[in-house]
Amino acid sequence: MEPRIKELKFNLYRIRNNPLSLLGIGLILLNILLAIFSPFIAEPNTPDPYKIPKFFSTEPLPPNSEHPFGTSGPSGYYDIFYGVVWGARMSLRISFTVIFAAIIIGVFVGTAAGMFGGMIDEVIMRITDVFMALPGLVLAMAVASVLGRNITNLMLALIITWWPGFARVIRGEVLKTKQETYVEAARAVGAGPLTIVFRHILPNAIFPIIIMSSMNLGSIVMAASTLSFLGLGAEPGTAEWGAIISEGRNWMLQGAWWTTFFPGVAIFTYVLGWNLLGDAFRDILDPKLRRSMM
Amino acid sequence: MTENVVEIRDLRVNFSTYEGIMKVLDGVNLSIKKGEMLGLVGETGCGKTMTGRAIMRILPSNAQIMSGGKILFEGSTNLLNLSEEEMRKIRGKKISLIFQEPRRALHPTLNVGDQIAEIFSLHMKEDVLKTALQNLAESENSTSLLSNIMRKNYTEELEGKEPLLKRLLGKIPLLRTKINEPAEKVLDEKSIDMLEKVQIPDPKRVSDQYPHELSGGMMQRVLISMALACNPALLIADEPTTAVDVTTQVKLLDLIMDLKKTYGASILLITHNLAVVAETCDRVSVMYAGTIVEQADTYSVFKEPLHPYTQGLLAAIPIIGQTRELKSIPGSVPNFLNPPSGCRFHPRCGYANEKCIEEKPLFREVRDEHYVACHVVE
Repeated sequence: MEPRIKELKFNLYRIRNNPLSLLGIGLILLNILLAIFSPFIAEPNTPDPYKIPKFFSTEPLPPNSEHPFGTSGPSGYYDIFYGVVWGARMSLRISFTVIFAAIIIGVFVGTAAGMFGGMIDEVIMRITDVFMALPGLVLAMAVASVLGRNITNLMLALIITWWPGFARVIRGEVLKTKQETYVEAARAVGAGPLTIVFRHILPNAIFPIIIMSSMNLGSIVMAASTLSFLGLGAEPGTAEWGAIISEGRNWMLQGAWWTTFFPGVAIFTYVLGWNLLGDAFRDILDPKLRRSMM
Repeated sequence: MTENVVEIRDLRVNFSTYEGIMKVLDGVNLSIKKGEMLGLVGETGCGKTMTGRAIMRILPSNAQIMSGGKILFEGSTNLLNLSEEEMRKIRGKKISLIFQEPRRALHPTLNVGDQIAEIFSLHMKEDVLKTALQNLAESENSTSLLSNIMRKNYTEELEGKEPLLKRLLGKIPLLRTKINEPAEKVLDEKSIDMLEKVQIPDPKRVSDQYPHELSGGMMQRVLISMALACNPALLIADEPTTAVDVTTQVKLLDLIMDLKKTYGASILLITHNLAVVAETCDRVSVMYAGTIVEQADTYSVFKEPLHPYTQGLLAAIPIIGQTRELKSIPGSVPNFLNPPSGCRFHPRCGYANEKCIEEKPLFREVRDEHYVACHVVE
C-alpha cells in the first residue's frame, strides 16, 4: 500500500506544479458543480428543465440584476443565465453519452477486427474508411438532418461520427499487443481466447483511448454546438450553448453582445478545460513523460 | 526400456509467406524419455524453436502442420489430432514452455503473484476451491454468515454450477473482493510457494512486484516457476539462458537441474550452446535446416559424432589452451523457400555423393540408440 500512496503524492505534486493542469481541473470542476447544482442556481418552472422558461418582451435585455447574463430571442424571450447553467448539464450529458457509446462500439468493433484479422478485419476497416472519408461535421450534419431535430438524434449523429476513430486506434493497439510474447505465453499456459482478450490484450491496449477520450470530450461539445448553431441539433429555446448562440446571432450586429458572448465563453471554457485535463492525464499516466520533468 | 513422454514422428511444418511456401520443419523425428533432459541443438533459424512451438501447437498463424506427422504424448495421445479445447487443457498443465526473453514474456501490467495465480486458477481450480473450503472450516468464525455464504458458493462451484449468490454479490464492488477472499488467499499462498521453490529471495515482496521491477535472472526464475506450477510432464525450455549473463546462466541451469530431480519432469532444452548441452543433458538431438540429423546420448555425440554436420559443429568450438586452427563449416544455412534436394546438408558436406543430392536420407539407428540421417555413415 505504501508505494501507492507515494505514487499518489507524486501525481498530486505533478499536478500542483503545473498551473495549466490546475486550470483545466478548475474549469471542469466548475462545470460539474454547475451541472450538479443547476436546479438550485437556476430554478426550472417547466416540466422539461432543458426548455428555457420564456417571458414576454420585445427585444433582448442587457445584463441586469434580474437577468445577470441578459436575455435573448427571438423564439420567445428568455434568460441567458438559465440557458448557460443548464447548458453545462446538457454539455456533460451529451459529451459523456457520446464518448461512452463511441468507446463501447469502437472498442468492441476494433478488438474484433484486430483479433480475428483476415476477412473480418478487412470488412470492418473498410466500413470505418467509409465513415472517415467524410469530414466528421459533414457526416454528423447529414445524419442529424435525416433523423430530425432533437437532442437524442444529435447524440446519435455524433456517436456515428465518433466511433470509427476509436475502432481504428484500438485495432492498431490490439494488433501490436497480440504480437507480444506475454500474450503468447498466456496461450502457452492454456488460457482461453476470452481470457487472453480481456485480461492480457485489452488492459495493455486501452491506454491511448483514455487520453483520446478526455481530449474528445471537449470537441464533442464543440461539434454539438456547431450542429445546433446550424439548426440541426437542439431545437431553439433549448438550454444548449450552440442553440443559444444560434438565436443570438440575429441580435449580434445590433449591439446585443451578451446574446453570443456568455454561451460562447461557456463553450470556450468547457473545451479548454477538457484539453488541459487531457494533458494533465498524460503527464500522470505516461511513464516516459512523468519522471522526466522532476 | 523407459517410456517416451513425447515421440515426434515425421513432423512437417510449412509457412506460407509472400514469397512462397517455406518448409521450415521437414520431417522432424524426436523422442524424449521420461525424466530425461534432451538437448536440441542447431544453428539459428534451423527450426529448433518451431519444433518446441509445434509440440504445444502455438505456431504463428501463417504456419501449417502438414498431415502425416505425429506427436505422441505419453504414448497414446496424438497432440495433432486434439481439438483446440483439449489442447488448452494440456498447455501449461502437462506441457509447459519457458520463453526465450523473460522481459517480454511477462505481462507488464499484472504483478508477478497474479500471473502465477492465473495458471492455478486455469488448471487447478478444484484444488484451490477445496483448500479454500478447508481453510474456511478451520477458521475461527466458521459459523458466521459470510463464511457460510462462501462455503456454499465454493461447494456449488466444485459441483460445476455457477452459484447464483456469487453472481449477484459479485456485482457489488467491495463485496466482490470480500467474497472471493479465501480462494484469493489460497492462490496467493500457492504463488508465493512457487516463487520460493525457484529460490527467489523474499518471495512475498516479489509476488507484489511488477515485471519491470525485477532483474532478468529474477524474471526468468518467475517464468520457470510459472512453467512448473502444475507439475508438467514435459518442460520445453526455449533457450532459457540466452537473455541473462553467464553467472546467472549457471545458477538458472543448476536450478532447472534441481527441479528436474525433485519434480521428475522431462525437459527439452533448446539451445545453440554446446557447452550447456554437454554439461546438463542426458541425450542430444542435432538439428539442421528443419530436420534432425543425429540423436544419441550426450557422451557418444561428443565422443564419436557420426553425422558430418555434428562433426563440423564440434570442430568449430574453440578450446582454451589449444592452438589448433578453428574449422568452420563452409557455406551457410540454406534458404527454406527452395531448399537443396536430397539431404539438405549436401552442398556444405565434404562427403557428399550423388545419392545425397538425389535422395533424402532416412533417420535410422546406426549404433545402439544412436540415430543418424546420413547416407555416408555406415
